[in-house]
Amino acid sequence: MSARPSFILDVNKCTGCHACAMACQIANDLPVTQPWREVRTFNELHVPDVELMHLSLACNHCADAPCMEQCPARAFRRDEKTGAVLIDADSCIGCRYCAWVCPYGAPRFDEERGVMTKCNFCVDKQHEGGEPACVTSCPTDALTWGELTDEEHIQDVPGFAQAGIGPAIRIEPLRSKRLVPEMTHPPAMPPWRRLRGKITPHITLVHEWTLALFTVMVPVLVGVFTAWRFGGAAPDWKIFLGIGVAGMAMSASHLGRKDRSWRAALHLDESWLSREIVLVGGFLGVSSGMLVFGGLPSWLGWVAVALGFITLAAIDQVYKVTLIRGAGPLHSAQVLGTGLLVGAVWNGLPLVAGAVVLVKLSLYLARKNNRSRLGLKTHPAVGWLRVAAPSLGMVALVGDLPWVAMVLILIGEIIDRGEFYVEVEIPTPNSLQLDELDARPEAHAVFGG
Amino acid sequence: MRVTVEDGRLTAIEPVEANEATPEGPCLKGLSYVERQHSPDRILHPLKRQPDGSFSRISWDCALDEVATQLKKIRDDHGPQAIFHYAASGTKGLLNSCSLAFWRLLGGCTTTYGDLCWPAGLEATRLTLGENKHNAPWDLANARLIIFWGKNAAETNIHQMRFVDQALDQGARLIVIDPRRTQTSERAELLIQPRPGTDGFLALAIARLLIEKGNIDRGFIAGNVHGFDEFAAMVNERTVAEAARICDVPIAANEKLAALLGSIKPATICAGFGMQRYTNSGQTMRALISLCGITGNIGYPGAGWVYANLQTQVFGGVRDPIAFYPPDKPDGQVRVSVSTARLGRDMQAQTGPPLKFAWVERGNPLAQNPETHAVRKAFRALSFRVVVEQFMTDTAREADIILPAKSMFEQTDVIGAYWHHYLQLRPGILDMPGEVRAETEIFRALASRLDIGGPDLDIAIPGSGDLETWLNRQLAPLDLTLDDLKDGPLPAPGSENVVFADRKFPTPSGRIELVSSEAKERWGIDPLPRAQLPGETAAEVNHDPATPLQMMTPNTKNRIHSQFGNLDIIKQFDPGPEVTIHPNDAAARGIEHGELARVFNKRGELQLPARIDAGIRRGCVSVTNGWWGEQGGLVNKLSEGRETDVAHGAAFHDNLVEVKKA
Repeated sequence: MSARPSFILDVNKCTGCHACAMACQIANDLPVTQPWREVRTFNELHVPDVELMHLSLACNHCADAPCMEQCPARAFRRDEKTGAVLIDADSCIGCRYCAWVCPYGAPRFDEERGVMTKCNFCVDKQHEGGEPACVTSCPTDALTWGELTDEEHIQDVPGFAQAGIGPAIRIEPLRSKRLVPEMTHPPAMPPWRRLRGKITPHITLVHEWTLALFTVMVPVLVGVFTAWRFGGAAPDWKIFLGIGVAGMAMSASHLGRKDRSWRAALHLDESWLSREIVLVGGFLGVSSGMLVFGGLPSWLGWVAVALGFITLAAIDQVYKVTLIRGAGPLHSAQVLGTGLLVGAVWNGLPLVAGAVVLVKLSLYLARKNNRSRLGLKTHPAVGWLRVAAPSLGMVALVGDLPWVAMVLILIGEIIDRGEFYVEVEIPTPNSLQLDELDARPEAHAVFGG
Repeated sequence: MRVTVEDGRLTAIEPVEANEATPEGPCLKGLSYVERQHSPDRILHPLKRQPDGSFSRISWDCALDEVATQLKKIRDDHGPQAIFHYAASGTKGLLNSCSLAFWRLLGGCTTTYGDLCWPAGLEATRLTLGENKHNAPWDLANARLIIFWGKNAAETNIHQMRFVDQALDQGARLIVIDPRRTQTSERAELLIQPRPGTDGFLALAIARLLIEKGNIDRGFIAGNVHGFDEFAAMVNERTVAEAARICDVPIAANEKLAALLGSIKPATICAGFGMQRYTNSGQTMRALISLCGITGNIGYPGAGWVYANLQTQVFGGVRDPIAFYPPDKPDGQVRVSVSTARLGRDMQAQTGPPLKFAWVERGNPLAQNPETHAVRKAFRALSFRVVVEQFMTDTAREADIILPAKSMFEQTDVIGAYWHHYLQLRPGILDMPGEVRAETEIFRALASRLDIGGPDLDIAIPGSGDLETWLNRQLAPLDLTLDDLKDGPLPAPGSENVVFADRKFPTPSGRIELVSSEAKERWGIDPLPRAQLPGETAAEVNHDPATPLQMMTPNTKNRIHSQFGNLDIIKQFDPGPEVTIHPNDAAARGIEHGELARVFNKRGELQLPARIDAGIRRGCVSVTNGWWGEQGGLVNKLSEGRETDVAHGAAFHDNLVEVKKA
């Protein structure tokens, strides 16, 4: 790719003065609660023998911008001349998903307008031959700007995600000779782990509980419908449709601009979120149709089953950008597993259900164990409930109490999905900086009194 | 800086490349004027205190009539010296001279001597080198060795960091001496963390090592240094090991610093202001400057003593700290009798006449002067107080009448500097908001009520139409006009990029004075820069168990003293005061990160969240200064009003405190 306008940050020169962040707010008339540029400090509590450095980051206007690719509403566009990635506030539905997929923490939710905003590379200034306000105002010449090629976009510093998405920034790393000053006073360890608590999470159960319920309701419907196609009892279509519509409403309720919900279907070719939303709608439509109108051809039912499982895969794909510490690539709260489990219980298949429960609980306990070793909260009481409920559910299933079994299984699934929203993180520069610090042996040194 | 105004509002503040010291951009305080200028909290009308302590808007006529009546009454009943004039370092400019000129026309007043900021360092420099000037800011890039001694330029002089970086790029070495690991020390290879207040001991130990190893510039000393032999004998009075124990730094660090300073030229020592706010500061700073003298690091590019550059102070005739001292012969009009360092107690101690009326402008003594409780008591003991302010500061809250103050964008003036050497025009480009009036207008309106007028008044204080004429009259002796400054910053007449290049030192001996008889005559101190411990710290060295922590109150990049901290755009980066404490000191007190802690001594107490930081020296705690009372961080509740050994500075950094879990 040819050279394009790019930020150049020399961390040797940056003193963390915040003039760039302030100049950005002034130039773009932003409220202080909604900065487009932030300075993130690595090692701010001065772990001995570890360098301190500041990462001043806004949007990096990536060549393969995941925000633009994954926006379900096609609210992003690229400015041809500068390569700037821009949000069209009139198209944004306020789903916040761009903030999930951006590893640099660039998109921000504007509470007042219900839409996302972010650094616009000062395109207007650039079109007039000027430079971004942050660059103009850097008093130490640490933040500059120039035309760089992809080969020149190097950023090997703590806190900067290597996501392979072509960020238009070059970060000059610290020169080794000035890495850390030799200090003459006896060293001690600061409570740097406490800084994790200062990071505002992108996803919380309190905020996203509607999504948590939605992502349990959909696999339940898929599981039940599939079970019916395999010869099980037919669900009551009114309850089935009721749950489906309630789930859709819940998922739409967290949008900043509910009036524009329809835009979520506009980006099927790239956005997993867009696909998920359309697939859920498609599955519900066809499956409810089958339940309501008895005379429809049976191949349509298999189409609905296929749609259902593709929907579940799409939901899991949407959450793929998140991080659950202690979990591997598979984890127990994935909705595909929930769909399988509910289907097996519905049709009274203890062997299939037992196998799924076994896999789920193994994954769950392994994650909890890992989190405990990482020093993260594990909520043991909730954990026991999550393990006990499906275990008893299996007993009930074998004992021919299908409804008791279903209720117990669902309790386990709801707890797991709820915990998922508690534990899930979106990696940000701040959390990556702490991960980097955690990985340094110096941050685990033990000093004498 | 270059500002953009749209529809009467500041919308952008950008750098002016023609100022070679700051071509890249203003600091964040400069940028924050976009909010400050139009802040909804600005005082836009005269306000009068009500019996319940609140303030109500009154008309200018009411306010001026009342102030004039009070002034007349107090002048007639007690004499003009019962009127106390207090001004600090807020908005700068030539027009600031108008206020004292007004009081002279009224018959006189009482005012302060000394200064909170920098006089001990200025006087130490004057005694040693003869004049306060240093090489141009950009010359630092020529240094091969840079020593930041008690200075955190990244927060207090950010534009200097660019030149540090240029020097480092060319292979320069950087040493920082500071009890805290700072943003500046991140660039250093060695951070020496002495006990605060003991820098003089460290400097003399370095001098001893330099002399012992023969790493001094004998040729330079022979031609330019006065009193070297006595100095060399004096530094031998204490071993390096003894000094290292007092400073609580490893001997190896002394040796490394001495080895670098003895072998790398040119070297520049950039000294901060904080360490000259102890009772021993004059001697400390003289000891530091002597290192430049004995290594021949004065008068060359890349070499020198960088403390304060007063080459732009070309208007008053004096550009040394003598202007801060009480005059040798009182003029019978202006009584210069209140030490700024002891403001509260000295105000209360005035007799014949006692103080009755205070006029405060460009300052916030309730927050910034030592011994907040004594200052508050002194103000409350007066019968009338007028505060000219832009915001409702702790001092404004003590006023009977608050008069709204102009901002720096609202009246044309000429400003100098104390780091670079440019004179600059600061044009009035914005209308004064609300009913704000310039101080010149306020004084003229008072003058007409007090029957002061005529040519004397016009010379002292320009009328609204005479401003440019008045400013041109000040510039005339320099062969300058306002028009000359309209194109951009102009180096002050006679200013030099490399100072003392001619090896002419305006001291009594004409040389760099390591022995100063003037120091003895004027200040009663040792003619040699012999090191002593400051009072409270001496107790710490002897392990006073009651109050074993030294409290530092450094400046932050986020404020200039007590200014700017009230703005939202600043508060986002610095929402509230906290006490920074070493992990071991916190652990010994059972204090967790973020927990509320009591910081106290016999003078007062603050309750602040603890920030546990391994960058601070054990035995020290740090609270940045400049917080307002309503923010809970009035650090001067804990400081004591005492003077520095020279120059009537405020020795208010020498404070021991204890910290306990709240």
